[in-house]
Amino acid sequence: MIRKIVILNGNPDPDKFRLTVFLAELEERLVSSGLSVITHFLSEKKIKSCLGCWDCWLKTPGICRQKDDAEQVLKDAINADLVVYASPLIMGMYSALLKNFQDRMIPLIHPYIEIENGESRHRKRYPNYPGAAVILERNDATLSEIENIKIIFQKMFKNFHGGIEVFEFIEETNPKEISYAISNI
Amino acid sequence: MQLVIFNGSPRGKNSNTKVLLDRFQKGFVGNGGEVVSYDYLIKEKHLDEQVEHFKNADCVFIALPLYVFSVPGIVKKFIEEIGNFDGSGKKIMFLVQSGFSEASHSDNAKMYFRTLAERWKMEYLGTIVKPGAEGIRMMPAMMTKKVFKQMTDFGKQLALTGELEGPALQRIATPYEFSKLRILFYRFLQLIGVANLYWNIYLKKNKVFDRRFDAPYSI
Repeated sequence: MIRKIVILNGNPDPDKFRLTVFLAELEERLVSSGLSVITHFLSEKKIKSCLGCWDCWLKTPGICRQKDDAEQVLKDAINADLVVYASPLIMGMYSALLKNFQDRMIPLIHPYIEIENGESRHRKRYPNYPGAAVILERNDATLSEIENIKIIFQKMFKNFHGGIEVFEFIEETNPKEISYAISNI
Repeated sequence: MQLVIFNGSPRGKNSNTKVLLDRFQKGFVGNGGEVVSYDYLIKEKHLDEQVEHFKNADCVFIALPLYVFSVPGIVKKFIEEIGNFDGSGKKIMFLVQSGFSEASHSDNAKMYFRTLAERWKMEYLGTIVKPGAEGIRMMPAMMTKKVFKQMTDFGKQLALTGELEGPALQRIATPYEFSKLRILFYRFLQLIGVANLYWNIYLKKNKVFDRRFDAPYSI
């Protein structure tokens, strides 16, 4: 059952993309059905790019060397039951803003590799991982771009050890439906 | 032939991406190719200039490490900055290298590059996919000899023919998946405790081997 939800809003431009308005309504509905919701507006955070140094795996296990807003967002996310990854699609892919944060998520997993269904993946660092809801604003993305993004998220959550519970485009649904789907996980 | 290169690694000059690009350039320049510019996308304050280099190029080469099954954030930012652009008559190629042992993990980055080339209306020359590349900059020569030769050959092919050879692209992207035998072998390595030797060397050197499974954000 879902109790704690973290929404990662990866919209770089709330004037241009209507995703933020959609998420505000979603949050309202989730809260009124008794769920606890924390929204992080990634555009308002100071989150540097991953350096690729791997200190978070090999020097200070689980902790990034860069001290910025990413740490609090990661703490909230790993202790949530569900994390909403929300972004408009820009140039056929989710935003650099969201991608930049995803790159900073690797302290949550372990460098060790295990083989799962014949394929390598990273091992767990934490006993439990949140489920994922992916909410995208499609914009001009083509079908092949969308299909590709879906597989990227599937592979990502194979390594981040959580199932994808919701994968929707805001053009094709509404906050009420998503709130209902989340409440029934 | 003129080429514009972008290195999309967050590690910049210390990247495995650079090591591979160096070998490529050797073959390219050694056979009459000309590298017009070489930009490190990590230098974000030069973003405007980098976009200009992209838009003015005849042939573009974007090289990067696989980050969470796609491009690093800095590369996505560069792509957004370029935006939809009519690159008719121009060519583009990519390199994606990753630490995963199997090339299959890079499938979606490769697919993304193909769709990007379509967006930009550029001729897609292909993507060099190199798995198992973590630590390539520190490996002994005998371990890198083959891949360095492959990279030099790609440079040569591009300079001489303006293309990348399909079968060569397939050869470097191996293994694509684990064979049954390889999975058994890996299980054996796990059993005798050396499957994660590479990581353990660093964990021990940094005196955090006992803390390697720390979960600092657990409530």
